[in-house]
Amino acid sequence: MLPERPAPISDRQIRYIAPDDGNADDRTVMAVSLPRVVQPGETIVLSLAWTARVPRTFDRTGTIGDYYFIAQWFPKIGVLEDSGWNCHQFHATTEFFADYGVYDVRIRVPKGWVVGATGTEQSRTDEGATEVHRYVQEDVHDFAWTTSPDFIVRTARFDEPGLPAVDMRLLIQPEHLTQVDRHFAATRSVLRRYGTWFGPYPYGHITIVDPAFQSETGGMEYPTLFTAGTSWLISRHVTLSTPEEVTVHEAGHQFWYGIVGTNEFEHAWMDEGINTFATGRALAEDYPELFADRYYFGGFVPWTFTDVRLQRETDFDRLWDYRRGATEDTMSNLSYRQRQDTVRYFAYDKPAVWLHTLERWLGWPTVQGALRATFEDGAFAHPGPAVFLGHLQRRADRDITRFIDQTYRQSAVFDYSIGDLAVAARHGQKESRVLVRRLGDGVFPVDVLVTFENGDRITERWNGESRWREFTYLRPTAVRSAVVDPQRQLLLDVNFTNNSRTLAPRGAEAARKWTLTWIVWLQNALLTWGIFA
Amino acid sequence: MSTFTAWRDGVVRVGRAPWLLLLLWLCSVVVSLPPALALHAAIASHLGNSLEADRAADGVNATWMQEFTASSDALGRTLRSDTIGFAAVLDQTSALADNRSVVAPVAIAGIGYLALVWFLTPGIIGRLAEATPGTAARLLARCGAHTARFVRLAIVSAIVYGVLFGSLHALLFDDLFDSVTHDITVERTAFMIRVGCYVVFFLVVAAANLVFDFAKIRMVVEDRHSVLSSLAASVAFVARRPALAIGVYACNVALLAIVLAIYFIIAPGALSSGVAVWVGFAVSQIYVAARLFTKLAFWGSEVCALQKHFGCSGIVRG
Repeated sequence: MLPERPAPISDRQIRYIAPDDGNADDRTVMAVSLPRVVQPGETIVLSLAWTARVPRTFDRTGTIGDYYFIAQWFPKIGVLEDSGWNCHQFHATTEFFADYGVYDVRIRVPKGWVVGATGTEQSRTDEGATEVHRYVQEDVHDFAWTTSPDFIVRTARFDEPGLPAVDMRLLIQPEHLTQVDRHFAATRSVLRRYGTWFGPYPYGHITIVDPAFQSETGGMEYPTLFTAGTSWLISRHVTLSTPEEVTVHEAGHQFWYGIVGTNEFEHAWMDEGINTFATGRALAEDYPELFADRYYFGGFVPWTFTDVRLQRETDFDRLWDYRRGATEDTMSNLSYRQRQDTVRYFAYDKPAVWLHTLERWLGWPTVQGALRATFEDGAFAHPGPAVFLGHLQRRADRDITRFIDQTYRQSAVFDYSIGDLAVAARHGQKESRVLVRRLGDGVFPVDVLVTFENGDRITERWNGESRWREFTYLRPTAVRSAVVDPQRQLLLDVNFTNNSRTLAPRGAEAARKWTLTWIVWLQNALLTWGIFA
Repeated sequence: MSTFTAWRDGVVRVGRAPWLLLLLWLCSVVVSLPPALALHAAIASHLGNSLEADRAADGVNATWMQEFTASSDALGRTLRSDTIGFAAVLDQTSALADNRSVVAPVAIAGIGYLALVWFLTPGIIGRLAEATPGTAARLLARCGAHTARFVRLAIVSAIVYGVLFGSLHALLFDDLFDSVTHDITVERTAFMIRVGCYVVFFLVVAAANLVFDFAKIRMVVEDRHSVLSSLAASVAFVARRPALAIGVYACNVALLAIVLAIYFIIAPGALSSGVAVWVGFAVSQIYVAARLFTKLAFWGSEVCALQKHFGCSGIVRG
């Protein structure tokens, strides 16, 4: 119910608090004491007036030239949970957390400027030199908007049997007009894949913003709106620099961030990690040919390495970054407490590799089922890690407690290798010995594929517990090669080269080939330096 | 004699002295071999008996390459996808244009190569200036005789290029480019401005290069001992005969562009194995030879241009 009369709040009722670290200089959380206690079932209305100066764009908000992207621009109310207020201070290393609500926003901009915002435009009022755009959206936990006279608007519709239709609105920079279809195709990929895997996109509309050059606002998600990012010169192939990857990732956040409102201060992996994992999966499904690329000459001129195909488990799951920071922290540590230089490993990289390992170990139906159940439980709510882990354990056909302990609560390092491969003659037969070793502290059940000279194959199962295990064979033919974890289920393994060994090695041949390639590269360097001779 | 005739005669002279090309090619190989052998050993050691070698031998094994570079020293970390095919040209040219630092092993190889080429330059220029073929002993004797003055010229050259790549580059790309493009929201516009910066920068570098080239030639052809007088004579020549001096230089730049364009088309990738690897390497070495031929063509045509100016062939003095 509304109060009988407005009760102005005096300065004395306002104080700054620092619930995370007690920093007395922190001014990012404000606590307001109300004139009286709000009783159960009562409703209050808070009117908040504030002014803010729009900065030059940094950290994905602000203005540059005639381009405005306005995010994290209004005071947000903390989230009231059963345990009390969950309202963290600002942390430069994390994103945000807010409750769901209804946003009804009026934006006044110069006449003729294009506006994009969370929600849909309800009205546009002509005020002479300016126009007021009214945007409304229900059931979202944030509101962002953008405006520029340079945007070109393109629209398309997502129609997929079994899924609700979605109107897509693309605000694109004029210099990227040739990439309109690529943006829409990538967004369709997400609406179809995520919609099928996790649950349908409920809002019926989505706005894709192509940010202005050097605006630093690309690659960010907001409810029903996200920023992509591309370049003027791009490859005709799909690479990490073309709009597909960033579009899929940010559109994917509509599900894991937008619809499932996880606490980004505390469990960043639940939106970034799950979404990075799902991004890779969607890209692998819809873009079977993805190539590495690199930009030269000040970052303007692209080159696509058509010899180097990107792989889901390494490039999209960010395996290399996971390996860099594998032991720096744990996934279970609250994100805002993690170190600035390592938090991303545990928000994006390790969770993606971890989930992909789970997918390969337990099967996609199990992982998908757990994610779908989390999505259903967590839609327009704030599920924590326990919700997902519970769903996962209930669906798994084996006890995963130890694996979760090692990988989620601890930072166990996994490294299995073929330690030795030897053959000796015995009793007119060949005695082959395969030594498999566990070099890391992490324990995981692994297969060992042994291949013999005559093509015979034996797959051994090893629980991976002890430091080593030897397999011996007395057969007419000798062993030729052995591979531990041949299906590469354990993507968390930090060294894959040592996972196999053969008695017919081609290491010298490979070394020769890559040395010859490298020599030419070095000669190119010398010839380029030759300008000084 | 027109500019084009001077350039053409220079190219013909280079064509008639194939062992000069062989000499420069050997320089590039000799300098490349030690780090290449070290890299070969590192790759072979890392792959060991792993089956990952199969994929690395047959194509690009990105997984292994990442593991290799992650566990390697500075030399090993240079084994990136940039080493494949034409990307190598882009990588190195971009590194030069953007003044990107290089890792120590590559820098050492580069300095070694430059030292070798600087030492051999008097002999090469002398040979290109002479109408008749000389002996290797004569070439080396000329190199030895000019060593001291070429060292002095190399020092001056290093200072000038140091200023260009240090101060001028920073002025153009760190200060001017950044300030001009600070509020630009159209990438195409920023790119055009950067291209403009590259053009300005490399015009200045080319001017310095042209002056140093003619200074070297005048040192050898006129047996000049003074670095300053050679540089002054070089500047005077370019000022007096700009069409001729700049013309032959531009012709050689065009020749270089043609060589690069052809390599862009035929540069071998990394999906080959077995004999195809050697074929790809041979194609790449032909390209290297073509680049070195272009380098010699610069000197050959500049010698011809100078001799045309003097109205005589061969060594003017000495």
